[in-house]
Amino acid sequence: MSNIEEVKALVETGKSKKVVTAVQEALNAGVAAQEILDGMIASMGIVGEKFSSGEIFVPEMLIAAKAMSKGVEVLKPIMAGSDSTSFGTCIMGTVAGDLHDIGKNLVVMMLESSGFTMVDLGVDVSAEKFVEAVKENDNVVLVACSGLLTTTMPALKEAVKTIKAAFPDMKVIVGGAPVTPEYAAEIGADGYAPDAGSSATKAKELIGVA
Amino acid sequence: MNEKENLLRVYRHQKPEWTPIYMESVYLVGLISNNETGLRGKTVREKVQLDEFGVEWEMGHGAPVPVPGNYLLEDICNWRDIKFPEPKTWDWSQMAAMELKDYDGSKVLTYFSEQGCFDRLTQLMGFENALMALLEEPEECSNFFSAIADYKIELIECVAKHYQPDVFCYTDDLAKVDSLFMSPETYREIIKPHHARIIEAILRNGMIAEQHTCGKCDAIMDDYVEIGVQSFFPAQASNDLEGIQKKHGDKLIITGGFDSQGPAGFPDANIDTINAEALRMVEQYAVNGSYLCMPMIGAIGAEPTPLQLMQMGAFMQTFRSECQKRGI
Repeated sequence: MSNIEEVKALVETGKSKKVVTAVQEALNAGVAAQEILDGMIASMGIVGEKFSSGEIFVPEMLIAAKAMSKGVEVLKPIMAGSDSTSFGTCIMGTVAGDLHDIGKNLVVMMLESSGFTMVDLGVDVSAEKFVEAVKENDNVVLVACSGLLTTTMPALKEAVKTIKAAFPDMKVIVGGAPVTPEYAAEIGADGYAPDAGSSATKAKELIGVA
Repeated sequence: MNEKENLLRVYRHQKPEWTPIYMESVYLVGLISNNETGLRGKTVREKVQLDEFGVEWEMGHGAPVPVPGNYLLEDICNWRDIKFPEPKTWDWSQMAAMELKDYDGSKVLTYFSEQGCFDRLTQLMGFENALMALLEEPEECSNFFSAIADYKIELIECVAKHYQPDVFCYTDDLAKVDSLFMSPETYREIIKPHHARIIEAILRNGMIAEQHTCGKCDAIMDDYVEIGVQSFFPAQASNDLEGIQKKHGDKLIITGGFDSQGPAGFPDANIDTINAEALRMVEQYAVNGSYLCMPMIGAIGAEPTPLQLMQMGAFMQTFRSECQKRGI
């Protein structure tokens, strides 16, 4: 198995400790850092697909994301200053009135693993706070709003409306247990993802890098 | 026949005189006494209270929610540092007197015990860490679940003695809207043995064993039935409830059936939508028997709004009248 194939396999199976050594060995063998990163991103794409299809469950996806993160830590000093490592910044939060962070955290991990720079605003995020975060951060290409409760769906609508009023061209993706594609379209969101696994694919599609 | 006698017929898989509705036929206790969500706990700051394990719960957003990002346990290997509650030291006579003072015996008495093995793990170490621990430290997770089962069994024995409820509802949220959080194999290997001990203790103490699991958990419904679960609550519509009724209808009752993720679960659902949901539940579940209807309108622990009261009234009227029409 080549160095890069080994790294990919270790990410996919969530072997955090081993992946650090494997990434270092790949670098020592002369494999470019960008190639290793691309390999890990591809592995996370497979993980996301397997999760969406029900082949694997949340724990398997989480340990894969953790392994990816450990591998990226090894690459970071080498890739510092490179502008090719990120698709851009994504602002994410759970909407006002909703304290549920599980789904939001999973999406943050998957988007980060797929190449976005993530700014996590946490839970109970007001519509105005999303707008402020877009203003305060560089190269924001996407805003992701999550909501678990049917009772906070109006807050999801308000968030999309407020973000779009301030930044008409900003892409906004929504998700959460009660959200449907129809509801996402109705409230003016650009995209919807049914689960964390497919969120990365949809996010890249929205910003035109899929 | 009163509501209790009628509902007990359902639990025994006999034909009731009418199809019961949870709100009319069940008297719920336990939410105060076991303080598993901070409702009876010390206030540490505005709208934040502690539960029996010392976990902080946010009270300001409807149903209590653990404060995100503030966890007592980082590494599951350190779970022995957590101080477990000791139910035998609690003043059960006072709690039972307080919770049962208005109970007249005409409804089924259900003791609701929140936070099962997996729930508690997630509250102590955060959801992501808890799920990863299942794969990375399965043995320590199992040891922790065994200790939680010991605690729950002590609590079950106290409840049986002081409340003498008909039903003990054990809650553990193992699923999300479309599937289990963990694989069925992970549940079977790490959680099920301890879950089985808890259910066995409920039955040994003469109570009906009710299992609360939100989300789609039908992949382990055979396991639930195998370990002795007799009622599945709140049996959300994302599960194949008709299939479960067909396969396990002589051993397990379905308590729930409301599609809380569908249009009827939206806060502004109109009366036509609510009525349509009531008719669907009659058509799909009530006709099969061994069924206790439960509309999920509003949040647990929160005062219903005028609209929710209207939705609930419409639902119950439509459900009752359709059942009467069908003779069930």
